[in-house]
Order: sequence, then structure tokens, then C-alpha cells
Amino acid sequence: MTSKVRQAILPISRFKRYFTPSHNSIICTKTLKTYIEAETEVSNVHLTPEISLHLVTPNTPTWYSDGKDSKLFEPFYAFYWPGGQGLSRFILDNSDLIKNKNVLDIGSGCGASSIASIMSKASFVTANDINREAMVILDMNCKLNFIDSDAIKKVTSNLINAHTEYFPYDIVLIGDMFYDESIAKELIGWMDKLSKEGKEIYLGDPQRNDILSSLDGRLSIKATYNLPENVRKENNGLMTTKVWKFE
Amino acid sequence: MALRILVGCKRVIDYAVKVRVKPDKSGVVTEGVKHSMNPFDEIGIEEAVRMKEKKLASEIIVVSCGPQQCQETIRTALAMGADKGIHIDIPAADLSKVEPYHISKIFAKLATENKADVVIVGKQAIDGDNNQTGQMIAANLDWPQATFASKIEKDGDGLKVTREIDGGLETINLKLPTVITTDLRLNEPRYATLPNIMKAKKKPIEKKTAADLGVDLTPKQQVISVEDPPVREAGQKVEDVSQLIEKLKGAGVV
Ligand SMILES: C[S@@+](CC[C@H](N)C(=O)[O-])C[C@H]1O[C@@H](n2cnc3c(N)ncnc32)[C@H](O)[C@@H]1O
Repeated sequence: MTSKVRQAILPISRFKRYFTPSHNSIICTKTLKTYIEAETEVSNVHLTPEISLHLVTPNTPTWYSDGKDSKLFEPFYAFYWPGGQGLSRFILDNSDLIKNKNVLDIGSGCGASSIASIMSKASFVTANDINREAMVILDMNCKLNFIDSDAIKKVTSNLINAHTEYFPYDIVLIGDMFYDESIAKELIGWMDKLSKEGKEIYLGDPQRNDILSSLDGRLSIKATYNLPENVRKENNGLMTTKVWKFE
Repeated sequence: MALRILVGCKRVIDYAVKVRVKPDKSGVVTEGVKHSMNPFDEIGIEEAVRMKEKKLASEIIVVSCGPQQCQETIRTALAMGADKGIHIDIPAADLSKVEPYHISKIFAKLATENKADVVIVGKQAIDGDNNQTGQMIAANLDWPQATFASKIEKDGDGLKVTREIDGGLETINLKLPTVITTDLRLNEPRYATLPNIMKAKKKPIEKKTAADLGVDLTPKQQVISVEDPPVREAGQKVEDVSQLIEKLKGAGVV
């Protein structure tokens, strides 16, 4: 089942219920948390070891599976993707850019870039992911890092292409969102609009395809990081990840 | 070096399946039988991904010719680290009549269209055991070829390939563009893991037909009959050498 269909049939968020398509059932937050705890481990083996995260890793059986036996359906949020890793590293190393700013993290996944923004003293952080399950793991990851989960606002509606006139954000973070050509195309148009409105946009991406090269003149490179061995194994063929500012 | 590599990945009957001949001897039974990627093609994809990891390659395009299920084979290759797929759609019913000759024409056309620097295919597929496609692709394109590769290295503007030949190893230098066929000892392919499988679902697969490429699939050969290999007769155990000689004498062979 596609995530679009899933979104459509999910009850609205105040019921706090989640769908596990592998079992075709609706479950509550508590059950989802148990599933996440069972299938992940707390890991610091990534580019931001100062942030602990619940992740599917080579030490957990799900990593080796094709996902069919997992209770988590396509758990993008249970991996820390190279784009988000570089972006979060950059945020932690350049806290002056983030401090006192209002930050929006698009496609927040495990939530590391949102957590990094809090650690860099952003005045306000919003995590946005259309997969509502990502907000549950974000909550769990906040706890691991002694961050008050309420410090991060959680939004699960699709903001890509949303009206931006009243956007309160100063900075928009986009970590590893160019893996899907259709999302990438929409994002590019929206980023253009946001930057015209004076938002600062930071992209983290390992360049899985050549979509970003079409933006050549508009990207200024801010950082390049070598991926740790385990992250390379998670992303066959990739060796580095980069951070750009879109202007 | 930033090579564009085109790699073949054929969907074949899984190596562990016992192959059965159809009662009318027209071919082998493929319906309802487990299929997977030709092991020599897995080796080809692994090598291309390693070349990408060494920054020798910039893009890996995988090609599979056959029915819709070939897209699963392509997805496996994408999860191993290839960047995009091309599925040449050939209905299952027509597939048994397609020969290395046709496949080589398809690959030659795709290599040109996609500006490939290197084409990698298995030395043979474990179903037909033809060992012809790589050689024919090179002939169609008039490119140099290195068959039975057990090692591929960068060498100036070209590649140095170690080949497995009767009685030893041969090392040759190749100018680009070139065609390489893989042998068993080239590498040990990696398994696709969940994070890679998930991302592979989002990688693009383009679907085309042979006709789109201007390749005519009219057969050049006619299969007269496909038969099971003769059943091996049971052997006999002998106690010692003298008994062996006795038996051999008895059979009139010594
Ligand atoms: C590859 S993950 C990246 C997660 C995180 N930024 C990182 O780098 O680890 C992509 C995430 O984007 C989310 N996503 C996909 N389309 C989206 C959209 N239109 N708006 C917000 N999130 C989206 C997915 O649910 C997934 O969690």
C-alpha cells in the first residue's frame, strides 16, 4: 500500500493511532513504541555521535531483512540517512547560524536535524514529516537526548507547495529528500519560492542522482563529510555527503 | 575517471531449482518456478558498484530483458547500488525464442544511447549457458572486449583486466569504451539490506520494447528438441586395486 493511501485512511491525529500495513491493523502510540524499541537499538555510530538515536542497524535483524517480517512499514524514520547526518553535523558545528532562529525541518524522519537545531539553541523548531510514525520516534529520540519533546512542534501535513506567506520560519532544513524524483521536482519549485521570500535553505544530500546538478548555479557548498563505514553499507555506492545553501 | 557503466542483469531460474523439461521437448518449465538474478550478473553489478565507490564510475545503469517480473531483478540490482534501471519488455511467451544475437543488438543500442563507457555482462547465464552475449555486443559496437574477467583495475585512461584462461591468467589493457564479461572469482556480491531496498524502490526504471530500439526479434535459430541429460547409471564400489583391475578386465577396457 502506498503511503498516500495510508495517509488517507488514517484517523486524524488527535486519535494518536498508527497503521502497520504489514499487519493491516491500527495500533496505538504505545504499541508502536514497543515495536520501535524491539526492532531498533540506541546508536551513536554516525556523523553526530553526540545525538543518540533509535535506529535499525547492522546489530538488529530488521537491517538484514527485506522488511516483510518487520512490524514497521518502510520505516524511513528508523534510519539516519546520509543527507540528514551531514546536515545535522553542520548545524552542530555552526550553531551561530541557527541560534535564536525559527527552524523548519522538512522530512524530519528520525528527527536528528530538529534535535541538532535545539542543541544549537534555535528559538523554535518544527519537525515536519508526512509519516506520522516519524513523530513517535522523534519523541523517543528527544527523551534519549534529554530534550523536552514539547520543545519541537510536530507537523504531519504536506508542507511542500504549501502557501508560505505567513510562514514564521527563518531557516528551512531539507535532509536527504532528493532520493525520490517526484518529491525532488516539487521541492525545487517550492525552494525557489521560499528563497525569494528570504528564507535561508540548507540542503543535506549524498547525491544519489543528478537532480541537484540541475541546480548548479544556485547551490553554494558548505561542507563535505566522509560517511562512516556502517553508513556506506546502508547506502551502497555512496561515500560522502554534502551540505549546501540554496540561494 | 567518471565512467558510465551499463550492466546486464538477467532473470533466470534460480540456481537451486531442479530444472524440468517440458513434455513436448520444446524447452524447460519456467511457470511457477523460483527465479533470481543470474549469479554472473550479480558479480557484474557488484564490480560496477565497487568501481563507483572507488570513484572510477559515476553512474550505473542496469538492463534486464524479459517479462514484467524482470523489474524485481532490476530492483535487486538497484538495492545493490546501481542508479537506474531499463526494463526491455519481452513477454514470457516470446522469451524462449530470443537469442544472444538479439540481446546483443539491444545492449549495443542502449550502450550508444546512454553514452556508456563500459558494458559489463556475465560470461554466461546459468540457463542457456550460451557464453555469447558479451562477445556479440563488442562485435556490434566494434569495441574491445575482455571476457572472463577476474580483476578490473584503472590503467591510465583505460582499464587493466585480468582474464581467466585455460592454464592460467592473462592481463590485458583496454582502451575505452569497452565490453567486459565477468568470471566467478571477480568478487563476492553483497546482499541487499533493508535500507538499500527501501531507497531502491524510489530509483527510476524506464520501460521500453525491442521495437522502440529498432531491434527485430525474429529468431535466427530453431530449437529442434530440448532433452534431459541421460540419467547416470549407478556405480560399483571396489575393495582394492586388484579388484579394480579384475573388474576393468572383465569389462574389456584394459
Ligand atoms: C530519506 S528520509 C530523510 C529523513 C531525515 N531527514 C534524515 O536525513 O535522516 C525522507 C523522509 O521524508 C519524509 N517525506 C516524504 N515526503 C514528504 C513530504 N512531502 N513532506 C514531508 N516529509 C516527507 C518521509 O516520510 C521520510 O521520513
